[in-house]
Amino acid sequence: MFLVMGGLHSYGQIRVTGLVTSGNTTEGLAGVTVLEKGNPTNGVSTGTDGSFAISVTGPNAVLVFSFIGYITREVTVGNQQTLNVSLREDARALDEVVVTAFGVEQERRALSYAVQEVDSRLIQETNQPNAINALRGRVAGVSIQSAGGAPGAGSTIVIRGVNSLNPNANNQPLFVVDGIPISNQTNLTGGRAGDQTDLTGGRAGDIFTNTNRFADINPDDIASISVLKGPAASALYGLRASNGAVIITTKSGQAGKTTFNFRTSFSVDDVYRTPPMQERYGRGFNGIYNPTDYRADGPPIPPGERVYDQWDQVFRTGHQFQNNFSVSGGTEQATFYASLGRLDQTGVVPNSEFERTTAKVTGALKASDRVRIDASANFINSQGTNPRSGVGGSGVISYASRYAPDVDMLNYLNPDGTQNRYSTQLDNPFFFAENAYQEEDLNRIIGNVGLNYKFTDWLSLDYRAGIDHYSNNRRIITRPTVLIAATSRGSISEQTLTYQEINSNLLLTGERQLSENFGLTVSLGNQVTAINTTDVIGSGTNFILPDFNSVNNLGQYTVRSFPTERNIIGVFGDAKLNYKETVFLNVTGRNDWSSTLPVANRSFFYPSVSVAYIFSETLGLSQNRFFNYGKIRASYAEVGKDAAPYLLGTYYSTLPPFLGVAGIRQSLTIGSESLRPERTKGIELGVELAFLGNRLRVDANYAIQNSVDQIVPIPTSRATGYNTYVTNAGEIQNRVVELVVDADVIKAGNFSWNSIFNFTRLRGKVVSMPEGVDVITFQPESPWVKQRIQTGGRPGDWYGWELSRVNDPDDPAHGRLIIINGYPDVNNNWKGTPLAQDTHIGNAFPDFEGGWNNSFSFKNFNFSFLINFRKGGDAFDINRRMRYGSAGGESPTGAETNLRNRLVIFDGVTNTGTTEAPVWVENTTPVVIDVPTFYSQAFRYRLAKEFNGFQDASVVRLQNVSLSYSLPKTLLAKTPFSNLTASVTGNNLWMMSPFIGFDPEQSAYGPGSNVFGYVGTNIPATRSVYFGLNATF
Amino acid sequence: MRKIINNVIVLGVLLLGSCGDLLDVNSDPSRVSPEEATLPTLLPSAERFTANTLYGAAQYGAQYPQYLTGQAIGQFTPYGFDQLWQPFYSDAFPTLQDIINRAQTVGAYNYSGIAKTLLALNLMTVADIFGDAPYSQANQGTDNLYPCYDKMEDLYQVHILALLDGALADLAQPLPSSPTLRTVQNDLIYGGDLTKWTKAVHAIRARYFLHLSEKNPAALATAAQEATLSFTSNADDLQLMHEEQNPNPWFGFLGNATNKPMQPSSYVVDLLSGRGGRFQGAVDPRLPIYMTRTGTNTTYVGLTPGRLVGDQPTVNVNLTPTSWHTRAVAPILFITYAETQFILAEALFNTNRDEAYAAYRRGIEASMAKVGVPVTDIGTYLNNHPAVALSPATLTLADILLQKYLALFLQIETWTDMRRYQYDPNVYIGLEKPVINQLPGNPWVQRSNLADEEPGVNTCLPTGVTQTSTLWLFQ
Repeated sequence: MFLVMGGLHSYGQIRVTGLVTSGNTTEGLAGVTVLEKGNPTNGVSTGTDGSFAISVTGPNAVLVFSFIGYITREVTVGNQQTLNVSLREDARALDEVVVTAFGVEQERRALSYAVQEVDSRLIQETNQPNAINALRGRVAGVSIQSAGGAPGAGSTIVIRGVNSLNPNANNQPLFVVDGIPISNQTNLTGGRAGDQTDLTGGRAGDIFTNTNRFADINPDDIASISVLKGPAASALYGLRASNGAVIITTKSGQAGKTTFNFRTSFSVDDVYRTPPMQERYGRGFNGIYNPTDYRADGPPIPPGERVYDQWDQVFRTGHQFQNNFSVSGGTEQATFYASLGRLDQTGVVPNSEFERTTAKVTGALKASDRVRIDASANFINSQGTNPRSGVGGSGVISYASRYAPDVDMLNYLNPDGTQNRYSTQLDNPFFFAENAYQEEDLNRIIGNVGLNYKFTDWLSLDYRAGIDHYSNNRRIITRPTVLIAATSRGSISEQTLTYQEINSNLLLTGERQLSENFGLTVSLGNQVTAINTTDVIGSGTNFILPDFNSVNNLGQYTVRSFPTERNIIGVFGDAKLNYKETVFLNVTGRNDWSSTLPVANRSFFYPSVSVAYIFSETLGLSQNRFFNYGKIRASYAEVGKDAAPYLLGTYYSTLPPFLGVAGIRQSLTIGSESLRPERTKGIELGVELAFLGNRLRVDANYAIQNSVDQIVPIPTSRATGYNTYVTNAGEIQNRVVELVVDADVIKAGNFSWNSIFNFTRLRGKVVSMPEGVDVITFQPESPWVKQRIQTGGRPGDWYGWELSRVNDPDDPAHGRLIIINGYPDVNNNWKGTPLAQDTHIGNAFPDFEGGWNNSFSFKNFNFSFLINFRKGGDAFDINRRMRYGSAGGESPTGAETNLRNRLVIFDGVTNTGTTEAPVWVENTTPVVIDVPTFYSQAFRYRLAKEFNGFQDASVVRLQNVSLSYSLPKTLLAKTPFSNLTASVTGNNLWMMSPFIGFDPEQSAYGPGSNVFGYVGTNIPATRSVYFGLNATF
Repeated sequence: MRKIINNVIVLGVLLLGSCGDLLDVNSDPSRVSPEEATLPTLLPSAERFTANTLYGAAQYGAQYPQYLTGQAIGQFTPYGFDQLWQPFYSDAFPTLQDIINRAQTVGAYNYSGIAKTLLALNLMTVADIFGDAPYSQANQGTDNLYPCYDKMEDLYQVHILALLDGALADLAQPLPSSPTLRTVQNDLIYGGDLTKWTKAVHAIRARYFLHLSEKNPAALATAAQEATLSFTSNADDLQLMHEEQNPNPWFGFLGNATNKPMQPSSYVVDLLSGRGGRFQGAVDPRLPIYMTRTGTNTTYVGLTPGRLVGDQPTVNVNLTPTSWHTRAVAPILFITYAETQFILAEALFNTNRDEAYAAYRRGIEASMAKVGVPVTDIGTYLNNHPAVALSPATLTLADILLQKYLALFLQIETWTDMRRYQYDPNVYIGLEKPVINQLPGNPWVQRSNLADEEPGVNTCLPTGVTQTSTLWLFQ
């Protein structure tokens, strides 16, 4: 028909005018590209009101209307001179804009590597004060563990697995806010005053679960988070992003009416999952009552006498009170956003609180058509107090777990104010919390200023400079009245940590449509990063007055200072070529110069290449009702990485004075003088598919990442004179499968149901070890279980001892316990095997993990829930070992349990033959499960993984449930409010796990460490229920 | 356009031009470079590290000679003596070797003499506990990451002897001409008095030849000679005094600790209190000085070896902040005048009984005077206590070793004595094995396990080491 009509008209220029509107509204859409199809040089953009005017070759001409976030539409001009076109908003995602390296916004369809975005709504509705926790379970390939429920406790984020042989390495991604990297460091207690390169160190873990510094960012200021998972995505950021990058865009003002937003929430936090404790036996030993024995191995508690539950006593209800006020608005030329946030939190254990105040202001000015300037400043103050916890036995939780059930923990003070201590071996948890704690205070400023200059419509320059500066004062107080002060007679350490990072980013970008089919974007950039830290720690011992909390109250004190400086200069180039917006090729290269490497090796280059192909375009499937979009992508990338400062060679350290004389000593660490940069190499294959008109979207990845030439502090024999040698060695490979399925299950009128499922399967492998180092053992002196890294193994491999079983498959007794003298045997000791030969008993990392989020919306109600799951992976519950060793405990045969002082015949077999030719007969030897006989077996017996707290850490967790109701607009019409929403949210509401204990996923070593799987000593994660109100006006 | 490109190039050149300054910042401002290290700043560290090494050996090791008990190790569970291994190999050995190397370069033999003395003492302690131990391949940094172990035999017959000979020779050398090195500075032990250091070398040599006499009985005479050349009073003792601000490590570990992981064992308590009929209830005046009794029971009751602290409610003795060895301001004893007298007594026992007996009495007297027993009480004890032999004729080896045992309370040297006599019940009368023994077969412990942290970091380890294998010296 058109053809016929076209034939009727003569050829010649036709001028078409019209209006492009958005969806069903009459609102004009500004900036829409209007192109004549097949004639790429003939194009215009719509004006601010959505209007356009274009001359086309004739009525056969087809106009292509495209705009980011909208479905591209093609309209044949025909004989119309006025064309009013409405563009449909893209239901979601596929054409959405994603923030990539250096804040460059790219259409998702053009990406050739894996990026996953998380919407701010999902972050804010969890009410998590630490935004990292809000990502938990939402991003494939990303694992997040919290160090516990202490207010301000840090969280660890690891993307695509641990990739360092060094258990103390920080494997966390780079955090970038509005284009400028900020610190997510966790300053562990002690810092460089401790020995940070001690591979097997960290024995005490982080006794105050210090926070990861990204937690300073007010979640309410975040507009979106996008996670760049592999080296291809993060290569441009250079060496600091070798573990991936988390790109945060904060909120900014919109032109138009000035809007005010106020959000408040109040929570009720408690510990709902506690380990079982025996409640039959009171203080004493071997059945004999002894009121000063901390062990609950006395006689049965007489009927009628009060029995206390340790957990009921030690935990209280905590609260979080969060208030956030923001205002934003502006004109076409200038916009602004300002916010004020406040968090007040009390923890679930005594003497535990946290408060945070944040203020942020952001402004942008369009100075001319060519110049855009923006700036933002963010100020954060936080203050907290937390009692000591951690892996050692001296913590609130570990003391509580050893308290006898016939002692009232709350009656902990004598009339004269001293501790009412029932045993010399334990401090009362309440008294301890009030006398061994950390107070901290942090001030931080993050600011950046940016300039964007458009030379021409195809060439622009972006310059951005930013600063992140914080100063953290910590005071650790250990009063002389607690047991751990025996040597020090009271100690205080006052530490001031400062961190300053200055970044300068220059990016020159040219963008050209080379021909009808080819488009090219080239960026050249320069990045300069300067990081300075200071760590001044004044500490001392010997309290003069019992309650004066100042270093001025100490008989002896020393001040130490550990400044560092690290500078990095990078230049990089990035070329993106696309063919028909269908095939995308992206090549990058970056060269870094780092101050921390030897001069000869400090310059290093690394490339990446990636390609994406939207095959559905070629196949013409875009209108297909069932399968409308398909893209495959592949990439190879390398990222180099430098060392920490001052690792080369060796130094001497000064020692505090002794008898008035100070000395020096050689450091325990020696670094190779020819250290090279380490490298992460990654191959990634991915596919993105969309079905049913984009209602079902699938994104799957397979990635292999190898970390080679690692800069590792190798533990050396102390007989070398050093305990650590820093060199390039070893290789770890991580293979990961990531899957995200996003479905708009129901979209009908005022009801919608969206479901997002993500799944990660990660396998790490130790490809090679440093020459001559067979194994790196974490906590080699631990008699229980330990983690070992060795060639062919996986990071997180557990070693320990198992109960011996008959392992001859042909023997009828196969699989049964081997009993010696009435007791089960450990580790084939019956064969005379030395106990030191332990065996592989599991791995700390899960077989797979993931999350399933469901959001429902019905009229003014919104409801969502998120379920996380993790299958497999073993955790060592240090707390269970403590409970087992003393008062509490639920071990099946331990002297600590209700089951004791009984005659037991273990279900197993004994050997009546020889070691070489065993003859297994049913065990008939009765043993009494009492302390004398038990103790004589205890050393080996308690080592067995079956009893020492080693457990399967699989878990299904209801991570988040959120219900909100917004008042109808009709009701609000006569009020100043444009939105009023009330909400109830729950975090960590329920879990199902074979694990006996607090929480199998709560790392005792905390952020800033690569050690996973040790759990149970920190203040447990809480169940939190929030009541919130949000008003916009 | 060209202008822009030019600008960018200029900017780039400027940035890269300043790179050098920006990048040359990798020297740690908070630590000292090897060139800046000096002998007078290394010496006090080495002396402290030696004290830590000897304390570290005794901290848990004191359970083997049954001075203390109460920990699992006291039940003879496997133990790798890391409290000895770490301070020796990481701290004392590198620092002492560093002093020796630097001193010999500049001819400061006064410093190297002291360092060799202390290194010999440390190395002998290590050899007595581990047997084979890294020495000739040790302490070479990255030049040898996997140092093999020298045989105990070689340590004794070659290396310790060379250090002891070298120490004597160096201390006899002329003083260095450089005025800054002429006087030994920062010597926390003898204040730079080389005469006392020379006596100390002889004392350590006496201990060394006594040990060696297990293999070569002729060494007994040398031991006696060396003992005579060594200390002449308690004032000569080789020890490191501690101060209130840096308390003696026993203070924090047991003295001042509310939660005491170990308590005096019933064996030592009974010897001192005379309980159990052995000494007819006669109390040793050192008893209330060594330990503190609590509660209403006036009889001192120690913890049965092998039992854990808390297992026996009747136990009423502890080491406290007022006990002599566990006070804050107390010395860590390296080797004492009393010990040299007991060495003399033992060495001369078969050859010169009278002089042996005289040395025996001087040893007792020195031990008691050292801890502040009043002179009159010492006299009473010496002449009127069933634990003391009253004449050369009645003197037995058991008498000498009993008094040495009591004098060397908490010192690891006693464990070497016990193993020299292989826990002989005729020498250590009344000594019994711990009631719980985690080692199969209920053996006496002969040595340390391999240091716990060595497997996995050193590829050149001895094989077949168990705590029940008898060391070369004691075979």
